[in-house]
Amino acid sequence: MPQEALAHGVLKGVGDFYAGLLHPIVVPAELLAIAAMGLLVGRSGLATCRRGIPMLAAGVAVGLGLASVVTTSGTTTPLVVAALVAGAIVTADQRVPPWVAAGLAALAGTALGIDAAPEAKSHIAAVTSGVATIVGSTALATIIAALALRVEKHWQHVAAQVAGSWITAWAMLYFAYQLALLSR
Amino acid sequence: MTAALSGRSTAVRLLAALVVAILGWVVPAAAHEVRPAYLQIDQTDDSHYTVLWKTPLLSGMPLPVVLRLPDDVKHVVEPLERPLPGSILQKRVISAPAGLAGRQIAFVGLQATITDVLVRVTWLDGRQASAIVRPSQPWYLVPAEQSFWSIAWDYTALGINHILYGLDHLLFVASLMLIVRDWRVLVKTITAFTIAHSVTLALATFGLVTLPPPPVEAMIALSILLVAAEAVRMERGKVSLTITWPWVVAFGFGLLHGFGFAGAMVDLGLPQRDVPLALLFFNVGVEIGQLMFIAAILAVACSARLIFTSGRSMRIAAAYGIGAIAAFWVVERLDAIFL
Repeated sequence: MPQEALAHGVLKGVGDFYAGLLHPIVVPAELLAIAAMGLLVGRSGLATCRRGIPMLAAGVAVGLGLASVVTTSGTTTPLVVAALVAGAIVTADQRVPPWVAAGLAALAGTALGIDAAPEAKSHIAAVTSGVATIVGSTALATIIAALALRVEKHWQHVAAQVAGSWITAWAMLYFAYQLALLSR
Repeated sequence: MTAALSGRSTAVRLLAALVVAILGWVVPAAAHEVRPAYLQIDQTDDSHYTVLWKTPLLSGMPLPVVLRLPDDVKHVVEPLERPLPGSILQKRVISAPAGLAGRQIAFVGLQATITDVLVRVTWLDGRQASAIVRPSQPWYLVPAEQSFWSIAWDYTALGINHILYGLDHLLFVASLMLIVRDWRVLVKTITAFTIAHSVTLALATFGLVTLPPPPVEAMIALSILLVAAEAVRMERGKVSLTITWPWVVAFGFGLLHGFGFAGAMVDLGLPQRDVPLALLFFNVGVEIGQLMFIAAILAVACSARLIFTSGRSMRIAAAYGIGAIAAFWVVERLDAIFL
């Protein structure tokens, strides 16, 4: 997948902070997972948002820490699984209990943290980049969740479901592509 | 006791030996050839240029570097070599019908040396360009004449780049945003900051007012620390000049931040004939970058306020975070001045 190739060292020449901050935005699988989680927790209500977003942030931090001890390849799959599940729930216009959303957000966050682990030259650069990734992913999820939380009008409900269906469709395409690669 | 002293003495000797060994290893590596080669190109008419190529003698041997001009360049006067004490001077006149702007001049063999080349180009209209060519990149690209749009684009991008990478300026704006709660006051405060730093940026760029950068940098860090402290005081229900009229403080400290921007702009270099234009667009870039940052902060803050009720705690935590970073900078920058 192109995003797998892009996942590390995706932003050259922008400095450690901006490379970390923008990583979750420019890597499609990470962006998709964040968008799905934001939509899911936002559509599930305020209580879910209050648990889901901190869990996502904590998950990213744990994932960044784990990246030094586990392999960073193959982290796209759990990211896409999380996006698929969250996107399907949003598309079906279902709400989930806060602990379910929080668990899914933690899983997505951990996969994202491992995926976004910086190939930094020094410890300070790695910390700078990692902190920026936590800030960037949490800020983006917060904005999307707040937008989803404010959905009131009928067309806004439809728009949220359309967004969820696009996320689901993209995730399914990813798995179809993986199957096609395996069958070759 | 004696054994301990003896052990310590041995350790000191070992340390001294290590330092000497490291120095011995580092110093020759740093012993860079101090005399660079020099290339001077002066335009004499539309298509003719005089070229001076001066290379140092290394242990009596000429520098093994060949000057390679673009292929369509013809010699009007063949290179005339004249030995000087410690160097060789070569003078020639060339014809370049297509001009030299945007063309590459190569220094063949430079990559195998440790010598730099200082290049200076002067055009008929008085414009000048200069650069130092390093062995790692042994060529010089003669800059093309910059159009209005090229200058506007370049300096706007530099302005955006400078503010987005200038964490101290961004943290100052962020700390102001912790104090301001009203849209109108925010607009007034940001406008005051913009006007103030534009004034000092212009004054410093034109050389009308100059301040040494180290104290300015330390004062900028102090300004962030003060505004962050005011943000904490405000959360505790205190009232002060900063809290009542944040735009006044933004204006005052904005004057200081303008000197910081000016230092960066002078470092970046200015086009000889288009200083006002470059200054204008650098400032425009700074404003665009600043507005991008404010928009991002507002988007996140408004979203967070909708979800989390503990806004006050978050603001206090942010103020303390900014204050801690600013305090570190104050100490670091003062240390750079006095120690």
